Amino acid sequence: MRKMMLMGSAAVLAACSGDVETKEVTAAEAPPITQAAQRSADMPAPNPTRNVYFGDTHIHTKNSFDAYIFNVRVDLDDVYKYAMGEPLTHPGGYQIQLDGPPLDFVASTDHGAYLGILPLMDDPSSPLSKTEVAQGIFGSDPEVIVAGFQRIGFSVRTGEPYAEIYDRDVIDDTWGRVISTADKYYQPGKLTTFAAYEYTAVTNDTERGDNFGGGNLHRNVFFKDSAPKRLFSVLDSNNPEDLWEWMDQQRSAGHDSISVPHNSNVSNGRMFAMDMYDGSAMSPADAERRIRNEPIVEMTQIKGTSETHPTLSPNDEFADFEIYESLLGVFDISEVSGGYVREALANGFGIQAELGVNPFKFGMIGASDVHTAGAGFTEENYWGKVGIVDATAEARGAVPPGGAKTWDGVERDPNAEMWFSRWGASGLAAVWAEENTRESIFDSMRRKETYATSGTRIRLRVFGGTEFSDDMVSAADMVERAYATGVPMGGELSGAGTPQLLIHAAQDPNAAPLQRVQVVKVWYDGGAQERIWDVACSDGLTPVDGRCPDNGASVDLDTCEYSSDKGAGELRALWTDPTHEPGKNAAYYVRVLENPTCRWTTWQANKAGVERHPDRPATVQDRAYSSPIWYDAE
Amino acid sequence: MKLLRDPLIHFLTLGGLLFIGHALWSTHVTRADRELVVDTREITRQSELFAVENGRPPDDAELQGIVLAYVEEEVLAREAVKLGLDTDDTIIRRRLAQKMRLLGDASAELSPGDDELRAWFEERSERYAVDERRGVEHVFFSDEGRDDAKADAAAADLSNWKSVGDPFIIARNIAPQSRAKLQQDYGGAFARAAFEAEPGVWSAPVRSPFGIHRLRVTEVVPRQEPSFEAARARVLADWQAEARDRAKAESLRRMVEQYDVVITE
Repeated sequence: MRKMMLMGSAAVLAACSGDVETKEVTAAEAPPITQAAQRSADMPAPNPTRNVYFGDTHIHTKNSFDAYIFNVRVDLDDVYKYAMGEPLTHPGGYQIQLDGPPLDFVASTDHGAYLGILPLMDDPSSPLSKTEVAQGIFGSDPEVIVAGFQRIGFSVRTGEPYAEIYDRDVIDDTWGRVISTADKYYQPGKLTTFAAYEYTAVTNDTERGDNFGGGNLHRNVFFKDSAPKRLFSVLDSNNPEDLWEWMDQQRSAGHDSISVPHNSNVSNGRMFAMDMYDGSAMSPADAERRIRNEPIVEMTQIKGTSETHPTLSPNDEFADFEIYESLLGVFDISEVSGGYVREALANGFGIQAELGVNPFKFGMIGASDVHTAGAGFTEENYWGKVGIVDATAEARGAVPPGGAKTWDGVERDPNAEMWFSRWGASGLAAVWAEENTRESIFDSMRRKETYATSGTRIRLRVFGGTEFSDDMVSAADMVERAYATGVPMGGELSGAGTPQLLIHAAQDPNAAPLQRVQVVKVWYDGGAQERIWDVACSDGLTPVDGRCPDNGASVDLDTCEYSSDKGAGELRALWTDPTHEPGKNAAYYVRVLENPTCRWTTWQANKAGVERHPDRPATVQDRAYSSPIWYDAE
Repeated sequence: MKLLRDPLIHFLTLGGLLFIGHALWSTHVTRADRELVVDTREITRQSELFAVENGRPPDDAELQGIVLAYVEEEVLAREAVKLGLDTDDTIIRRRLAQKMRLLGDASAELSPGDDELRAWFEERSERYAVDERRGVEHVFFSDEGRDDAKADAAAADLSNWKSVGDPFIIARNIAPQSRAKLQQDYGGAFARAAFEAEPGVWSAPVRSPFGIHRLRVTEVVPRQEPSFEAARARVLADWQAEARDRAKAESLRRMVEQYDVVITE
């Protein structure tokens, strides 16, 4: 009797979770799923000189393994509702709401690996809840929660699925729901949505135990206007080069997409490595495949800035901005070189010199990577990223633990210390597009007429040319003439003539005024080279030795009020490269800095009436980064 | 059910045998709490679940497995309850609550009568209206590089407006927008001026966070109030969403009402 019972149980287990079918759905036979939405009658006509649209292209819901486990219960609909301004409930029990106008475009990007699996593992009526992996991973004890996260994360990192919970039907069904929900909320002219997911590759070269720990090689995959029925996750292959191969196949089957890498800052130097995933040499075809699939990079988000690192850019006094260095899921510090976009933009020329192709000719966007369906993009209104484990000011390390008023002698929580307090209230993607539609916004991402901000809605136009005249910078029809005689950000100059940049920046009406506009030039000389010029200063100042003098803007750290009489509403400049060498490739991008304001940690300490974290900056200078303009001598 | 007919007969036979065996084996324990009745409805439910998962009904061996797993689970659960493992466990408490909420979700889709829906719409017609929108063109005068942008704006001759003033980062010609949207993008004073201006007439200088503007209204799209018929599909979906939420909240409230809630320190 006993023996029979045991056999019986085993049979049920096998019947419920075995037989994981690997269906081969080729792209050719899968019909496009996303639908073209109707153009509404009152939609404004396309603007040939383009409008700027702001969006968040990196958002998770309960369908992501690392969100559900942190008590996130918001679903796909909530991403769009939040983007339109509706309030949501945070796992911490409080209401969250977008601080600012509705977003113009948005994408939910849940992890493709185990997409939609965790909610079923926690549902007693699903067979997935009976699996061994599901036992004891859903608790209320933070240690249990983090252990569960590391356990699933281990499988994601290694790309080795837990067979009993790797149910492709569930993943495919959830992906189908991702696509249909994006379609449901797509309102051309008002809100653009994309079918998208995150490809969660992690460097798998070091042994840090059976956990998620490693270098981040994550990318978000966005489909333009039609998507295949099946997604490609790390459980198919954890080598990003295989993802690009798959994207190429999908593209030839009519499903155009782009892949957007993020958090190169914690990739352990591998995101912009100059060799292949397995350490072999890059071929011209490899370089072409990369830039074909990855035209833009998410270079600022909650988990830090990937522009540059103070050790890579010792002469950039603004480089030390929201730097975050812990590898995924562990406290180990990431290798710096190979992890930042400024260095990569320069190294791209080094590869181009050898292969004839520049694999790092990418543009910039920002996004949040929030795991609670909606992000706090402003310093005053920020609730972290993951869910229950960083739900309070204390958990985030903005307030000393245990009700203490000061940080003297308190024992600091390591997660808050190493992770959460170092995260920033960032970022947004900005695109210049003719109209707010999938086609128009996707095309702008492909041509890199995009820029990144650290969360505020700074407006930034950059044009490159060789024949701009001085009067253009103050001409009423500056933009028309710039499009006619130059290229917008993301574009390319070549041939004779000295590269010029025509720049126009304006502040976010709901944030601090602008302090300065800077040009960053990069090139390759046996190694990455860089130089920075301030090209426009607020308050009537002019640059001295390439830097704007101090404009005297200040912040009262107790009230967070900032000086109202300093800074500029808008700044313009026409800049000609004083160091141009004909025949020498270079790239130029623009960085715009606001006046200083309180960092989120300061806001939250003030609110609680406690001492600020002594080791975090009290203020930040929010900023925008343009996509580069390349000068290609050939 | 149809596809289960055969296995079910097998099951009943098997189940009967099992029950007899169980009864014989445990003749010395006859207390009521030792009686384990296998409800055929539960096994049918499990079999249906199996069929959904696998695309076919369970065969004999699998059906037997389902019965045995159920018996085993039930026995273990009872033993656990006897040991008091069910109290004071966060996970169990949360799952029970979750299950109750799901029961609430599954309540039947309600559909209102036409009159009821129409009355509901009329109370909320505001929600379905689209506010007035105005198209605006404007000339911009930057504070940067001017001693007095406001004076320059006031003095400007706008007969050839397209070539007057400074470049503006967003469009100089703004497609029709609501007042709220204009306020978000250009500030309150700009929006107010646009919605108070007489169409076709250049305004006095207006300050925005960017600098000084003179604006002219090019187009007024009046507020639109759709009829019940035009908005019907959306109204019905909203009514149902609200009815669901209300039913859930109401059933939860009724349950809570049956308790005296005492909060202790």
